Amino acid sequence: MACKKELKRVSLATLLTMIFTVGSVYGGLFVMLGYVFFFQRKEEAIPEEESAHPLNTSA
Amino acid sequence: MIGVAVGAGNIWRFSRIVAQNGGGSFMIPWVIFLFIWSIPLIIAEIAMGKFTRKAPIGAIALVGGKRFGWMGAFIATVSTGILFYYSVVVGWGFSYFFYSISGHISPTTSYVTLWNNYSHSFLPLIAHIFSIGVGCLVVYKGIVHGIEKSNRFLMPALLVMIIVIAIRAVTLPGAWGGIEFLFTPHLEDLLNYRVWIAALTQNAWDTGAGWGLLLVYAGYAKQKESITINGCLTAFSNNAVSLLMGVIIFSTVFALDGVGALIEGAGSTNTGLTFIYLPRLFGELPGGPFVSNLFASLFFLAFSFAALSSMISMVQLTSQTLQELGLSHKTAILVTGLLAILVGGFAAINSFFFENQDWVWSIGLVVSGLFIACAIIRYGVDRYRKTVVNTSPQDFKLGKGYNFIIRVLIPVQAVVLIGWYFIQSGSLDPNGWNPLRVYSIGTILMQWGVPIVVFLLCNRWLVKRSLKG
Repeated sequence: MACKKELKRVSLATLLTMIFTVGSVYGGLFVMLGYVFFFQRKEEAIPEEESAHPLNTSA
Repeated sequence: MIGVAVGAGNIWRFSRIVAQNGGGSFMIPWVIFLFIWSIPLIIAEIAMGKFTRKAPIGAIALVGGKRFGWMGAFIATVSTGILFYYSVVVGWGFSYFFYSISGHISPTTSYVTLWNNYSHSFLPLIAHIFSIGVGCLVVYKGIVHGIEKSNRFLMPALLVMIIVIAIRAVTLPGAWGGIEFLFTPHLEDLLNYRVWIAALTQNAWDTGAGWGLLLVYAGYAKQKESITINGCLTAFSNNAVSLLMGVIIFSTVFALDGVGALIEGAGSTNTGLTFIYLPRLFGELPGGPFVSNLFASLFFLAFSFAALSSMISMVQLTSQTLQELGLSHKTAILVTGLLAILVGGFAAINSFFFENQDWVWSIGLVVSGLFIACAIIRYGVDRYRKTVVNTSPQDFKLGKGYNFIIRVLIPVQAVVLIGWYFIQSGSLDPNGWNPLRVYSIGTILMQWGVPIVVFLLCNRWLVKRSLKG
């Protein structure tokens, strides 16, 4: 109830900013994750030499 | 790459900068800059790293031409400047982890007093030396894999803890005030240059755009590793963590202390915002002191490791740049470590110096981004997009809109924002040109100017050594 009351008194500018901010950041993140999991071309695993760089974490 | 970029910028710096710049008014430009600054530059950097396989000096010289190697040196200088005080924040994380496991963080603790006593002691200096020592040792011994293995447990644990405390924070009585503050824009703030420049620099801080870190990292990535997907994922996931941390911090501040805390209270808009309010939030978790202590210990351990892994990539960037200039691996790391201890030491014991360094080098990121765009413009933006960026078979391909962003939007943003800042601050602030003031133009011009002049004079030597190294 308290939450409903608080939502009722929120201004349009606040609501729009919230939708714009959260929608852009999390929308973008989920679109990218969706792209990676569902659409990215699954290529045959090509054996490739491991990088020698100490920061390489892809192994 | 996400691991390199997620760190203190998201967890510690974001809330502090939002608090200083009007909440919701800050969020609008912050999101805009994600799309027209950070993502395009991150993609440009990853592509440049894979293409040149060099540190910033060599990379910029190969892409933009040998006359512009000094720009790469400036990019490396900005990241090194940030490294010097970033390790201080890593040290705070380790200190608070030790406070947690030793029982200093309990419901009866006054966290403002704890923070004030801590930050005015020599403990931050000791913690800074410890963290820079660990960072240098890890790079020297090549045991980054060990840190990354720990992070495979600690990073997901950190994410889970952030989600749990976010749920607790937004369900505190009065938390809605914090969320309203975070998302309510004010027109007068949107007309303030400081809000826009802070939004751009914070987004660059969050995502790692313009630092040169992703450039160096990508230099050792596999050829088939994606550029655009990695770039977008890095940027979005970093901003997602920042946003969640903002919700947590402001909900907690408003629920426990009200709006006054942000305006005048207890140093809440200073550097200690996260370190004062997160322990208080842990105390609000159900389960008593045991649960709050466990959460605090795990959280600060995970935070320290997340920040440490970002710091290690900065040490790597600086030492690799020095190695390409002719120093041995050992000497390069030793020089990096000693410089960091010396310069960062002042930041550890003097909050004005800390804030000054944060101001000078975070705005330096704007210039770094401009320099990366300039190098690509020299190379040919369309050619760069076709032959350097759109090369990974698993990526989505970028269209011609990318050319417009790099050729027009990035330079315009950098020039307009820095120009706006210089004109406004220079004409309104009587001390604006004083180089000894924390936030003056004078201090920026002095600290950017000296290295730029030196690099311009030594450009030939820098490029020759970097391309040979």
